Amino acid sequence: MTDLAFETPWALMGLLLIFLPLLRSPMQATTYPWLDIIPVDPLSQLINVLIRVLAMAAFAALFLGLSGLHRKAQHVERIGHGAHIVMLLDRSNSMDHSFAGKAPSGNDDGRDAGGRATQGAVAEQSKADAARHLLTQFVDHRPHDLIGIAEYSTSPLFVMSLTENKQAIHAAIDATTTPALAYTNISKGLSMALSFFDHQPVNGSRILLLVSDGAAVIDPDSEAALRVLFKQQQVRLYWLFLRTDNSPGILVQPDDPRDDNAQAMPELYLHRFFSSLNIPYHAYEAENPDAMQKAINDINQLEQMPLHYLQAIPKQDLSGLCYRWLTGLIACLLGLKFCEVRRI
Amino acid sequence: MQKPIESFHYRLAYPGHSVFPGAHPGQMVGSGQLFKRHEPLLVSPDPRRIDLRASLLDPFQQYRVRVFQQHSKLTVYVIADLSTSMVDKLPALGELVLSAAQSALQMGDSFGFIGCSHAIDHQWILPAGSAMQPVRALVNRLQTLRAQSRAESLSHVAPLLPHKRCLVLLVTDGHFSLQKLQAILRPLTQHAVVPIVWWQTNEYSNLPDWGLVRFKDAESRRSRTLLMRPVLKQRIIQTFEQRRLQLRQCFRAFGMEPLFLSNDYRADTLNRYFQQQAL
Repeated sequence: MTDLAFETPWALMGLLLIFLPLLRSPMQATTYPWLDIIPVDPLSQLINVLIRVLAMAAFAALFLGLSGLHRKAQHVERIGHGAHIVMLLDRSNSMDHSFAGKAPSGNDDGRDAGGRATQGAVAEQSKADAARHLLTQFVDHRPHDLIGIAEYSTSPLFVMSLTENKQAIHAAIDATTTPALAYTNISKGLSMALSFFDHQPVNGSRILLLVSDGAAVIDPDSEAALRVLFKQQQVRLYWLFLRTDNSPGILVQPDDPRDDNAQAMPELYLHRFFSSLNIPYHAYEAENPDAMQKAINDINQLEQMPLHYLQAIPKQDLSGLCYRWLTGLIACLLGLKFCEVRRI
Repeated sequence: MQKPIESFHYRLAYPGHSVFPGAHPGQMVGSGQLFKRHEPLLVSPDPRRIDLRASLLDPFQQYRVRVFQQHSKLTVYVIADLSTSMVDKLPALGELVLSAAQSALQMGDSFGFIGCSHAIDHQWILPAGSAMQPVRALVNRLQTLRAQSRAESLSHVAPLLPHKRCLVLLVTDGHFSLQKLQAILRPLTQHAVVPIVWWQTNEYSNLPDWGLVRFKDAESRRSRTLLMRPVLKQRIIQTFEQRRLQLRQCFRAFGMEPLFLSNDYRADTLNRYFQQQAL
């Protein structure tokens, strides 16, 4: 914490004046014939020392303030409860539909004037809006997490690397209000999300939160690569599946054995793929915003491992503090000056 | 418009024996009012004063002559401490000098002044004389004095005084050690010394009750900051009272009764002082 620096170090030359109060007194001297006759008075001696110390401190505060004393930006290691979380959001077209599988009704697009998602105030909201709103809340509840965001559509979209800056994360989540893109290419999205954990220390838990409303087929090459990646990065996988009405769920076994293929039921096959990875994995199937909320609360409670993290303390300007001290010291000295008797 | 000079009347318990006739009872015999003794005509050959009755009664059949006590002249000296600490008392000192000079000259005595700063400076020495003008000139010069030193020469002043007993008004503020005071007084014992100790009241009893004061010593130039409050003021006054006792004790050890003056000069104080002295 002694990481102090100065903006204009040459102003520190003024600190030489700190010895001025030792040589001169701010008080007007009255000639007295014989000082030796005045009895020794400890209180007066104390006041004398006090005046000098105050004056020296005032000089010090003035010149430290003028030299722009500040504390450099620092990182403090702290222990909190949290995780490294990468959110992988689906930006396919279908995310702009409501849970009922159609475009949201009314002229309300599910957002308030500030662009934030509103919940309940609007009868229907798109899945993207619901996800956005809930993720915002989720982020607010997790003060110590490092959160990164990736999106995918036809191609993966790098949005934000792992960061603890909540403002940036909120902005990144809010940025998904732009209209969704085309199709679903989940394997590239997953590999990009996993790449977020590269060069990150393994402490606390690593979570990959996949928010999607559908799945796609993963080709065998990508599947092999993803298996390796998942093993390497030691992540926990949560899949928040926003199920549209009338679409098959994750866990639904096909009635017809002919439908039991990856083309017909990509969700089921993706689920099977995730289950076969031998990593902690949980899938939540949300059919409406409330269910989604419940899923997020679950994750919130589950992932509270102790986490070492570095908290960044920005550069602190201490010159204001110096000037405040200076004001106080000068006020004290002025008060003492007003106590001075000049009548004699 | 100058203030009229007040004069005071002084008298001595033990008169001197100056040969010059003056106003004070002396030990010289000569023309006077007070019968002193009979002497043989050969000792004091003044046939006008032959006492026939005493001559007849003399078993040795000699002429007896009456002799009278002759009033003799006295020399008055003011020895002043001209150290830096006396600077604020210089106007009052000037008044005292003028008053003493006028009193002395009125009585027909001679008056002299010796000012003592670091060394004896001839500028501040006025030999005993009977003119007022040099005294006025000296007092005028005294008002412009910028003293910068201690009164070290006070103890070397005795050789400048007459051998005969004279009246010495020793004006000082007594702000030095008692050893130094003893060294000053010892050579002066053959004279009739009236120590006048001059303290300004704003040195002790007139200090403020409350507040911060910074005092600078007039001689050593050291300074001290004091937080004045009634307790401290009381202690300072007590210290001064104690000092007064010490000084009085020290002066009395040399057979001198000190006179403590404060602030302005008043001739009445000196009158009262001299009247209180037992003859």
